[in-house]
Formats: sequence, structure tokens, C-alpha cells
Amino acid sequence: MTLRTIFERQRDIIDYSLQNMLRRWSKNTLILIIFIVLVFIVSSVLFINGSLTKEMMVTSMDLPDITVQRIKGGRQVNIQAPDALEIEKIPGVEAVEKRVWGYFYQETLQANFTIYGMDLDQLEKGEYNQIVDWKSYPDDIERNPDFRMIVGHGVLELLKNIEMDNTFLFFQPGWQQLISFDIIGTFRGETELQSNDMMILQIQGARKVLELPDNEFTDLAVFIPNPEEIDNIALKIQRLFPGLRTVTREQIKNSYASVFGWKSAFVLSSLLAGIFAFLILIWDKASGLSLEEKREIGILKAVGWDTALVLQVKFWEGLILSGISSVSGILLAYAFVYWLRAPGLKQIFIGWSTIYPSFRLTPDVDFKFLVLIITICVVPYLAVTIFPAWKAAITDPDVMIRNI
Amino acid sequence: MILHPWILGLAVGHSTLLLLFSLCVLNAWQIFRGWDYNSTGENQFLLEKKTYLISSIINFTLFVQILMLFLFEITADELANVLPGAMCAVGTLSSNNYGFLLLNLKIVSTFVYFMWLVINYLDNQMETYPLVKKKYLALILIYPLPIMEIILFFKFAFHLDPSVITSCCGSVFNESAKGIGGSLANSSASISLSLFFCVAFLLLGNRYITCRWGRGHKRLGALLEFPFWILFFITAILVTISFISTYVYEMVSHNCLFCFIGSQYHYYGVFLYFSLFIATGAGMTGGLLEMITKPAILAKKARLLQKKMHTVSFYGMMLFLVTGFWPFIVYYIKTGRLI
Amino acid sequence: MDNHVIEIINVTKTYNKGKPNEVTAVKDTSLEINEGSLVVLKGSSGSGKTTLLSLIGCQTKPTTGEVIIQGKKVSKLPEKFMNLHKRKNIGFIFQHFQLIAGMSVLDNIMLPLIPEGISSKERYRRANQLLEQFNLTHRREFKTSSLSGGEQQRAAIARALINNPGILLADEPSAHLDSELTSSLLDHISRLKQSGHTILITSHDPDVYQKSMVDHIFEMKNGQIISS
Ligand SMILES: Nc1ncnc2c1ncn2[C@@H]1O[C@H](COP(=O)(O)OP(=O)(O)O)[C@@H](O)[C@H]1O
Ligand SMILES: [Mg+2]
Repeated sequence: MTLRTIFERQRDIIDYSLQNMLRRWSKNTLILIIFIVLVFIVSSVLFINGSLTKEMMVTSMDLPDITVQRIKGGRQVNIQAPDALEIEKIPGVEAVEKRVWGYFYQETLQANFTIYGMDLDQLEKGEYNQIVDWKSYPDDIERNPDFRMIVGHGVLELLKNIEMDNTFLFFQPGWQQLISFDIIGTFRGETELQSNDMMILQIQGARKVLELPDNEFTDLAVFIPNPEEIDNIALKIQRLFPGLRTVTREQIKNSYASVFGWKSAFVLSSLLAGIFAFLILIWDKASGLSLEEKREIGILKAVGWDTALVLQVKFWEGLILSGISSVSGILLAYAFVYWLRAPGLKQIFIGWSTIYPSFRLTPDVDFKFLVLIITICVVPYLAVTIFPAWKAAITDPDVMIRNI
Repeated sequence: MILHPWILGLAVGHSTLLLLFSLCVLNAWQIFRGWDYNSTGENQFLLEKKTYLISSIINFTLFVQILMLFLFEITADELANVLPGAMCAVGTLSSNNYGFLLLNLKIVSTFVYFMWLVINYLDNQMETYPLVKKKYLALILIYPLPIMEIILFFKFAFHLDPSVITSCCGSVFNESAKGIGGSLANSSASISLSLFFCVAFLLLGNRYITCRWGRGHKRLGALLEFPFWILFFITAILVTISFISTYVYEMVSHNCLFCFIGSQYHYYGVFLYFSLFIATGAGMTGGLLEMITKPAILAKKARLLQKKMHTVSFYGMMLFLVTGFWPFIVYYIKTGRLI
Repeated sequence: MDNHVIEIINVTKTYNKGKPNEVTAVKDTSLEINEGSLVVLKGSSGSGKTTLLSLIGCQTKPTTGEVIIQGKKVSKLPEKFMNLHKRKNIGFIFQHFQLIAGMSVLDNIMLPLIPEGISSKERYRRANQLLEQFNLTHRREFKTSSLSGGEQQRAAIARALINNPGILLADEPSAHLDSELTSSLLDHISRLKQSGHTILITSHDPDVYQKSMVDHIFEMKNGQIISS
């Protein structure tokens, strides 16, 4: 047989398979729908995972090369200013930033905010100028410059609900009085994952909210120009200061990636039960040949079709079905994740806080996802259909000759 | 152990493969035991039908195997995000003892399945299925391959430890590094290039001589193709590490076998390895087909198929050469110098 | 010397061998049929006619004995090679026509050509020619389930002929036809005989086997040929 006739024949077989499926569309619809749903869920999870990982990679660029914390009794405690001075002396270290930050839980909203203490005047002059929408106040009431703050977009939306979008009141049981902050700007929506539950407070005010004494800090951010040296310097810090713990950017990146990976794998594993049920359904549908189908295969065999040819028909049917399902499932997932922002699924991925990033994630769709989706969805499907397809294909022609 | 979607995908793939292969081996055993061409009993009819089941499954197995080869590489690449120190697939694979072992086994299995399918195809052209027993015995004998694969895979997955710092292509293939990777890259480009071209010319020369000389030499020459192509594969990988990759990345110190597979390099590696696998697979099979000498008609058909395999492997080799040396040529023309 | 296109030597076909429902449908039967002849197999229901016909038509393999078609022993060939022979030499008209219901007449007729990898152009040419010949052109795109009995019969014959086989086998072709359609069927058959086809028909209809064009009549009983 020449290549041409082989192609010609394959085209005819595909033709026949298509016709055959269309004639029995009712049998295939249920399978198609479930299949699409499965591919949809699997791809959604993978898309979210992929984009989050990518977003992590991007935002981790801003992380300090090494974060230094003081550990006492296995817990993180405040770090003192002299530590920073000592670390700054290590060769290779360019700068050490003393950071003030923490979390604040707001009762009525049941939301957890990340609080960051900074010098806002400096921010306004520096690069943050670009990514913050600054508010101006028409009135010129005297304000305490220590109690100003910038918030993330999601935070502002939330604060509108409790009408605190101009002034936010911090309070915790045990405090003598409320601490009130003026909101002087919001972050633009670009770096959402990080800035969404974030409140940046003027540092002096932040110390009040976090109850941090004046010469103490939450942790230190160490900047090192040469990436080759990061690991070494981290080791050195640990050796010189036994009470300090170092976390490199690489470590944070890895742990984030593995958290996302772990979460998506968890979702997928729970999905495995669904996939398994689906496979049983397929097995059942594929093995239970109707009399009519058996007769048709008998006719094909009787007019000279080989078992191998009937198997090819079955193979194409499986391929067409899984092809249609995969493409539709993937497209649906794409729309769901990148346009609708994955309602329902995203909560699983973004930890504890009630404020989730608004998920305008940049699409990260790659050939590699296709390989994985095919392996998880299509391969088991085809595998399960092989045996029933073979059973059908070996139907003897005389089944039909001895009329049914 | 790292629970990760990619690991999950590999687990699904491996289990599917093993399950199907086991079904195959079960049936192959029945055929091996019960096959009797002259019998007209129901049992013989059933066994004949089972041959279709087995070829379908092995066909599918080969497809999945190739898919899994990709998936494995992608997984290794993705997990580099999770493993400290790993920058790409090499880091993940070398983070424990099983990664590269599994990869090598996967490559071997892919070739073995391919060769089995070709022999099966050949045998199915004969009315009497002369190779039927040998074929199915062979299938039973290669059953350890998928079993080993799944064992190695789980060992690999369980020993992935995010708390251990691994080394990556920068150091694995680094000139100063110890171990095989290092000494590979170390055996500078010129040595591996000369080795590679030696083998290539040996292959082509052997073919030329085989075509010219009489029967006796013909047989030896054709048989030699099998080991020669294995050598070709190995030296091609050497050249890829020490020479081709530097021109793809345009960096002296970057000698990675995997980074160029992905989208950043426009799937360059996919084309490169595709041509290499085609060439080697067809070439080895050509050598293997020479072993078939009885019966005469089968041998004749085998020779015809062998010719096709020779042609395919030749073009595969050319494709590999063009794909592999293309970045070098472009670089040389652009800059007028070597890296 | 006679040219035997079909030769059957001591053929036995036993279904469900070794089981309680074992049936020997054809018993130690031998038969030779010359090229170009029209032969009728008659006999009561259950006597093994259909089984013998499917043995000749390469639809099933004998339990013992030899089936030789056009000089080729087909009885032991693996399915793939038997099919090669079947497609080349044999056209089979089944008892209940056995057309695929949801497909058009045209597609049904072209089915046997698909395994051969024949180009679609050639397939349409042959199919249209046969549709013309059997007066079915106006039913080309109809589903076969909407055809009348006579039309189905003609479509079944057209399908059997599309591979240009030398041998035509028909199982009870007149069983579902009235006398008028039967005579038109016999017209077709006689024309096919004139064009050189070897034809074997099973029938218990005197209208069929008493025709003068019939060269041989074999009678079957309990799986054996008892007279010729
Ligand atoms: N596939 C089969 N399996 C079991 N028994 C069969 C099969 N085909 C035919 N038989 C039996 O063989 C006998 C002969 O059947 P058949 O050849 O159809 O006779 P006829 O065509 O003369 O009516 C019947 O008893 C029938 O039941
Ligand atoms: Mg009958």
C-alpha cells in the first residue's frame, strides 16, 4: 500500500467513525459531558497553579535576598538594631533593611490584614509613586503624619462595607483606645497577590499597632548584589549569630511553589475518585454493546473489514471524543480562570485570609499543560476503552449471518 | 516525597501502562503456551483474536511511553521550582539516585517497544505468523521494563526532598565538577565532536561497504548497525552536551540537555531529540531485522523492511545533523567566531 | 478439465465444540463447483445450508477439512489473509440483506471498498454504476431503513458486487420477496451468470431451483449433501 492509499483509508475510517458516533449521539452525550467537566476541573487547577507559580516567580524578585529573624525558644521574636549593624559589616552585604510588619485581625470583617511599617514620605518620592493612587484631601484639617496609611485594592473594597475607607480604626481588646489612621492612597491592581491584603502604615504608627518597642524590629532584609554569594552569606550569618534564622529568597520561592503544587495535587487527588468513577462508567458503556451495534460490526466483518480495521474505528471514536472534550474543557477552564477569576476554586489556593487576590492572573498556558492534561484525562480513558473495543471488534461475522 | 500535579500525572501514566502491559503479558503467555497453527479448535481462534488485543495495547503503550518521556522531562523541569538549588530538569533528576536511572530506562523501553512493534508488523505480513512464539516470549521477557519503571518512579518521587539542596546543570555539567556529568562536559567539544563524527562515518562507511561487498560481509555489516546506532545515540548526546547546547544557549558554561526543550527555546529540543530518536530507533531496528533468516520468505520481507529502516535512519541522522548544527552555523555566520 | 472455483473437501463444522449445546451443522461434506455455473443448495430449515455457504464465503472457518477458493486453501488462513481473499473473490448476499440502517444506500454499498484503500473517486464511480444498473440512483442518499423490500434486495446485491467478485453467494434471496420481485431477482441473477459469475444460492423455493438456468441442485439434510 502506498502512503497515499494509507491516508485515503484513514480518512475513510475517520469518516465512518464520525458517522457512527453521530448516529449514536445519545450514547455518547453523557460521556462527553462528564469528560468535558473532568478536563475542565483538571485544567482549571493546573492553570491556577501555573499562574500562581509564575506570579510568585515575578513577585519574588522583590523579596530581599535574605530575610533574617531572631528565634527564641523556637519562636520568632523581635530583632534588635545592633544585629543589623553587625550583619552590615559582613563582606558582600550591600544593605540591611530593618523591617516592621505583622498581622492585624479585624473582628467585624473577619479579615486578616498584613501590616507593614514604612516611611511614607520616602515612598512618595521613590518608586512606589508609580504604583500607588494617592488621594488628596480637600479639607485641611490638621492630621498626625504618624497615622497615615496606604492599602491594597481588595482592602479598600472591603473597608467601604464598614465605611472606613477614609479613616481606619485599629482596635484590640486590652487597648486603652482606638488608633485611627488616614488612608492616603491605594495600590494599583498589578501586583495583586502581594498587595491585596496589605496595609502600609507610617512606621511610627505601625509600631503602636504592632506593639513594637522603638529600638526593636520584626526582621531584617539583607540585600546582596552577587547572587552566587547569597547562600554563603546566609550560612555565615547563622554561624556568627546562633540566635538568628535566615531565609533566602530561593527558599521562600520553593516553599511557595510547593504549597501551590501541594494544593493543586490535593485537589487533583480528590478528583481521582471522580476520574475513577468515570472510567467505570466508560468501561460499562463500552462493554455493553447493543444488539444493533453488534449486528453492525458483524456486517462490517462480513463484508471484509478486518478486526484491526474495526479496532481503528473504535480508536478514532475514542480519539475524537477525547479530542472534543479536551479542547472544550480546556477552553472553558481558560475562560473560567482568566475571565471569571475562578470563583470557588481560588479560595482553595489562597490561604487563610478572607481577602483573596482578585485573580487577574496573567495567562500562562503552555504546551506542557497539554501533556499533563492528556496524561491525566485522555490516557486512562483510552486505556479503559481498549479491552471493550477489542471485544467488540472480534465479533464474528456469522453472528449476523444467523439473523438476529 | 513531594505531592505535585506533575508527579500525580506520572503516577497515573505509569500505573496505566503497567496495568495494560500486565494484561498483555497474561494474554501473551496464553498464546505462547497454546499457539498451534494447525489446530482449528475454538481455542486457537481465540488466541488468534488475542493477537489483535496485544498489538493494540503495545501500540498504545508506545504512544503513552513517548508521552511520558515528555511528561517526565517537564516534571523534572517544573519541580526545579520546588527543589532548592535546582534551576532546571537536571537539578531535579540529580537530586536523588533514581532520576537519571529512570530517564535512561525510559529511553531504553521506548526503543524496545518500538522494535517489538516493527517485528510484530513484519510477522503479521506472513500467513503463518512464523515468529509468533518468539514474539510473545519476548514480550514476556520485557515485562520487567514497565515494572522497573514504576518502582524507580516511586523511589524517585519518594526521595524528592525539598529540604536538601541539589546541584544543577551549572555544576553537574560543569568542567570542574566531579562525576560523569562533569567529565562529559570536560571532555571538551573537540573530543566529543571527533568521537561523534567517527561513529557517524563508521556507520555510513559500513553501509557503503555493505552495499558493495558480497553476501557474507553484508550480513556482518548489517548486524553491526545495531551496536553502531547505540554508539551513535550516546555520542550524539555527548555532542549535544558539550557542543550543540553551547550554541543554542550562546553561553560557554551552559551545557544543559533539557533547558532547550521548552517554549523559551521554541521547542528546539523537541525537534532535535525527535530526529535523534527516529534515526536511532530505525537504525537499531534495521540491525535487528538482519537476525531474521528463517523462513526464506520472511527473511525476504525482513530485508525489504530493513531497507526502509535504513532510509529512515539515514534521513533521521541528516535531520539531526542539520537541527543540531544549525545554531552553530547561524552563530558562526553572525559573529564570525566560535564560542 | 473442469475449472473448480470452489472446492470443499471433507468439511465439518461443529459449533460449541465440547459443550452441552454442541451442534454439528455441516458433516464431512465435499463439493466442487465449476466456474460460471449456477448452483442451488436446497434443503429444509436447519439442514446446514447457511453454514456451508458461510464456510465457502470465508465468514467462518471449518472445524476440519479444507475449503479451497480459486485454488487457494483459505480454511487455515489468519483472518487478515482470509479477508484479502474474501474481498477479492466473493460477494455475499445475506438472508436479511443486512444493510446498516442509519446509513445511506450509497455509503452502504461502498462499505466493502474501504478496507482496500480505494480512492473515493473510484469508489463513487463504481457505486454509481451499480446504482444505475440496479435502478437505485433515485434512492442514492436515502437511509436503507426507508427502502422497500425489493430495493433493499437490490442494494444488497449491489454491495455484494462492488468488489467485482467472481463468486456470488446468496442466502435465501427470495425468502422475503413476492413472486413478482422474485422473478425480477432471477432476471438479475441470470444476467450475472451470463457475465461469467459463479453463483451459489440456497433456497427452498421451487420458483428458484426449477429454473432452466440452474446447472446443479444439491440437497442438504442434517448437515450433509444427500443428492445432486
Ligand atoms: N453460530 C452458531 N452457533 C451455534 N449453532 C449454530 C450456529 N450457526 C448455525 N447453528 C446451528 O447449525 C444448524 C444448521 O444451521 P443453518 O446452517 O443455519 O441451517 P439452514 O440455513 O439450512 O437453515 C442449526 O441447527 C443451527 O442451530
Ligand atoms: Mg439458513
